[in-house]
Amino acid sequence: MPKWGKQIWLILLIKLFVIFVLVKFIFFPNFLKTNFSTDKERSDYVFNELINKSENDSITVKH
Amino acid sequence: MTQLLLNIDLSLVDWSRAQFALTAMYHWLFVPLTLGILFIIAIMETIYVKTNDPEWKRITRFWMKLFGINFAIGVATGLILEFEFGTNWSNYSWFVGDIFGAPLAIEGIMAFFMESTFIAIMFFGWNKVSKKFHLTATWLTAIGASLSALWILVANAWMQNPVGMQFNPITARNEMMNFWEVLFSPVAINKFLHTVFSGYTLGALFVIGISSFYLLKKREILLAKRSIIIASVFGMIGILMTIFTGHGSAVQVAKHQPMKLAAMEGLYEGGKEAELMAFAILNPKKTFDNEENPFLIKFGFKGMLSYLIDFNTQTYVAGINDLIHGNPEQNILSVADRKILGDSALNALLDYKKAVENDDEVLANNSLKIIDRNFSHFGYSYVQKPEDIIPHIPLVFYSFHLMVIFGSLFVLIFLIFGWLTIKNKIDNFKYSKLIYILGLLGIPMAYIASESGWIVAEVGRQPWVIQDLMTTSAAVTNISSASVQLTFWIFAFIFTILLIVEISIMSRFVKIGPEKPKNEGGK
Repeated sequence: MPKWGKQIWLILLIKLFVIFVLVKFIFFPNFLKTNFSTDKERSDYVFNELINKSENDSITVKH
Repeated sequence: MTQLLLNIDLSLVDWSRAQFALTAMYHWLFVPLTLGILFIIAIMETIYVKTNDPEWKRITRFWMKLFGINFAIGVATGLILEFEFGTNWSNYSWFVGDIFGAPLAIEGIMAFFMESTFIAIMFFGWNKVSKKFHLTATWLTAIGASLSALWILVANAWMQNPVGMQFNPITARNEMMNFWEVLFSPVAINKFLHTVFSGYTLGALFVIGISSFYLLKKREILLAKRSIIIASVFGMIGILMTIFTGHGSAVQVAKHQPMKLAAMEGLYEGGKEAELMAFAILNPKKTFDNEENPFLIKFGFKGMLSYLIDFNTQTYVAGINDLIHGNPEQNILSVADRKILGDSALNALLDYKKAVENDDEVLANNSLKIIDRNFSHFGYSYVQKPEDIIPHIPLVFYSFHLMVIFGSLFVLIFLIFGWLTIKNKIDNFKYSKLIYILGLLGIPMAYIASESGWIVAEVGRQPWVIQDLMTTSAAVTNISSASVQLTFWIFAFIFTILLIVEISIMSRFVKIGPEKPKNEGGK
């Protein structure tokens, strides 16, 4: 393999390590999978989010 | 600039959006070149196999090397977007259910098995497998890359026009009812074709740009000329198809995302014979609720916008004010009306949940009917002010027009380069140097046009993460804004490093040039 090929492979492996090990596990845990153990708990959580984030007050529009 | 930064609400939603935009835009720096240059390489290798001319092999291997650098640096950067869905956009990820997951899973399988298998043969198979087998691997890599793009674009198209699903109020998820409706929605078809053909155009402009560099330096003349011929023809097909499918996309935007179309054209007052802007400067004082002129300067074609979306100048095109205040004559509901319907769907969802818990079958059935009837307005429940449904007009407007202007210029570039090369005048033309500089400039212009297209598509659909069903504010996970800021800067750093590495390695290899021909004592 030529030298440039080895360099590219090295960059690729370092990058994959950073993405899959450092970035994924340290900074990007799956929020719902980490914090809830069953789909029922996850759906209840999102259900409450959908309800709570809504602003049910009617709005006025200038004409 | 400072004032602009002070006016930005640096909330969790903004940081999450900024992070996603940063990741997506950096990712998109690598993807279109991969999509485009692979087909150019496959065409070059086909000529080599047909003619057995070693010069074509040398040319193929040179462009393959540049592709390899781009692929190695860019591959897997898109995976970070998938991580962000799970961490920053968990409400969205749950709400979309398997509709988003299925295409992404197919994309992963396609990308992994097809691309990685045949890329390995493409890079390491020279002299190890037969010429025809190697050529097949190159073509399959090219086709595989575009097919991988298909699935992610289908998922994106569903967000712009959600079809083929049913909302399940028990799980708070959308469930796919018709895979083919999702796959073959006109929005998905146009989005896929428009995106991949724009990638082919960018790949062709990249090849012309690098070839122009060699012509400017008076070296690698044969490689440059041969590459330009292939790239000009391929690029011309690419840009014409990009324009054609861009028109198809605009028709779909008019149907499903009229606010985006209004933003693209700065159209505040709707009407028949709607004007298409060729060039305009927006009036920064204009808002939806004042009487200011939308433009400081404008040059447009009256009736052309109506004609473009329906081949009829008398077709009504909705303006921003129609979509805010409603227009009964055109059957357009106001934001206030749609919010009432969205609230009704949301309240019915709450009632349904209670009814199921209390075994109240009558209330459950009634609630379900209300949800089904009003679900297409569900997201309006999260809209607090009418103007919340207006995207950032200047960003969408200028990005759209920049993309169109550059796209038109690309037609000219392919024509000039193709014609001069075919006539064998590319290196002895009076204004050759100017043409080479134009060719070189084509590379940054292609990237700017490509990124602008995504800005139009994604900023233009704000505030919706799923059109009319979910806003970005409802989609975001309640996590610390500080953690999103931290990862934003980490990504900004990592991606900038990757970009610098890519540009420096590519520049080095372009300067070195292709392998020397065997009879000159090279490898």
